[in-house]
Amino acid sequence: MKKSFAILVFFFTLIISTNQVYSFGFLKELGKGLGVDEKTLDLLDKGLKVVKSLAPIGYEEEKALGGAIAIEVFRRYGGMYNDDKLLKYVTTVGRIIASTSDRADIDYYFAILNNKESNAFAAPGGYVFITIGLLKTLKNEAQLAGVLAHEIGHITGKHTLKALQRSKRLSGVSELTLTALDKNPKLFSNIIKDVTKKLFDEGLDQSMEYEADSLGVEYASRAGYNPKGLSGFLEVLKVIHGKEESVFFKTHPDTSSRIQKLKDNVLPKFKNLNSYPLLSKRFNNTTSHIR
Amino acid sequence: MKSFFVLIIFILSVPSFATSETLYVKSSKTKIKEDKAPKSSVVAVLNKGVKLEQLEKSGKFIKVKTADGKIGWVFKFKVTKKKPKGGGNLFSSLTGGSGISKEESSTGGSIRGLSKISKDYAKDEGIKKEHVDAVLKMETFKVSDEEIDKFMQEGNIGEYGG
Repeated sequence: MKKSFAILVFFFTLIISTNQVYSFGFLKELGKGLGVDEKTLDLLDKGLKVVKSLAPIGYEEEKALGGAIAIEVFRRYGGMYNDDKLLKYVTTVGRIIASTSDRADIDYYFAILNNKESNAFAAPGGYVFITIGLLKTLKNEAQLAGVLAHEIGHITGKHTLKALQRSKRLSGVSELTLTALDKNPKLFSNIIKDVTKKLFDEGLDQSMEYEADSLGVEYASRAGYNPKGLSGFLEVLKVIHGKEESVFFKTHPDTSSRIQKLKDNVLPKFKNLNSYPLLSKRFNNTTSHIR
Repeated sequence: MKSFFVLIIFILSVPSFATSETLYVKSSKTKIKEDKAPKSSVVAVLNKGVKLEQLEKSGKFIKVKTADGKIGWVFKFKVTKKKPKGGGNLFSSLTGGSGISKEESSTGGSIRGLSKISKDYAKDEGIKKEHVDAVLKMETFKVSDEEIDKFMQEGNIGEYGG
């Protein structure tokens, strides 16, 4: 009996650790076959449901959540800045970076927000936003690449989804599928409210921001841009801080700490930093009309 | 009995038996070129998930062999040792394929358009149509592969970088 129970627990652990999609029916049949009693099987069933609520959210669900968050981004940050020439430039740089990222197998979408504050956002499912205010502060294409790559880093790192999975809202929810959300629009609505509060008011965990910085430098350099692009933008931002009111400073770690971490931990691995292009001329030519 | 369980556990725990020489294409429309030189001719354009055999490494490029024996160089950041979800059809645009397999379109990252639940959310929250339309615009905004390629060439970035 003890041996049978141990085997069952082993399978239970295996299902969770490998994130396999076996139903409890599989475990129950195995347990019955091994002579495990009903009460013990019920306990394992409850345990599996609790742990399964922490299982990764599927892409289809991620895209649905991201789509609703994207709508909220436009609502709160001035809507779309209508300039197709500029949007094409941002989208091109963004897609080049995304294609070399660690999550190149999903589509990425880019938009410019009609908001004068310096800010940028990422929503799950591949949505990336940059404000016209931030675009105006940038000095070259490598800085733009750094900012977009940082946001892409939030998506490849699934940072918003990880924050969501830790929220109390989902405790007791065994499955976050589109079918389940369709049946419970109130839950969907509450999840979006929680996530937007996190993104727009509180900010993600500092560790996630630092990770996105590190990934941002990596992805921008893979795409061939100067790895100093992101830190160059942060230097500009440091000067702006104090002169400009932006929620960015509330939702991100201290700018000086971010620059220092990049200088200490990320940039030293790149040799001959000055050999990478900044592409200032192309940037200035493309963005001169917004200055 | 014991060895049976050990075998099952081993099969479930190890996702693949890929060797270090096996690579997979990360995203569709990945080019395999005859040489590492930026303007070298294209040997094949591959879909996401296509399996490649690694032959040689050189700087930012890897010499690879396709399943049907084509040999060429690929930008190293376009391939991965980890098999991506979905995809796997061999050729993309050179053979006129869509580049999106049935499996990929449902699991791998090409679910297009806002989902019904996202649109319903906007309606229930009284969000203006222009904001929903803005999301639709960013999802459908087109930049062609040729334009992206030219952009990279002009800036000496991506696979055209030094």
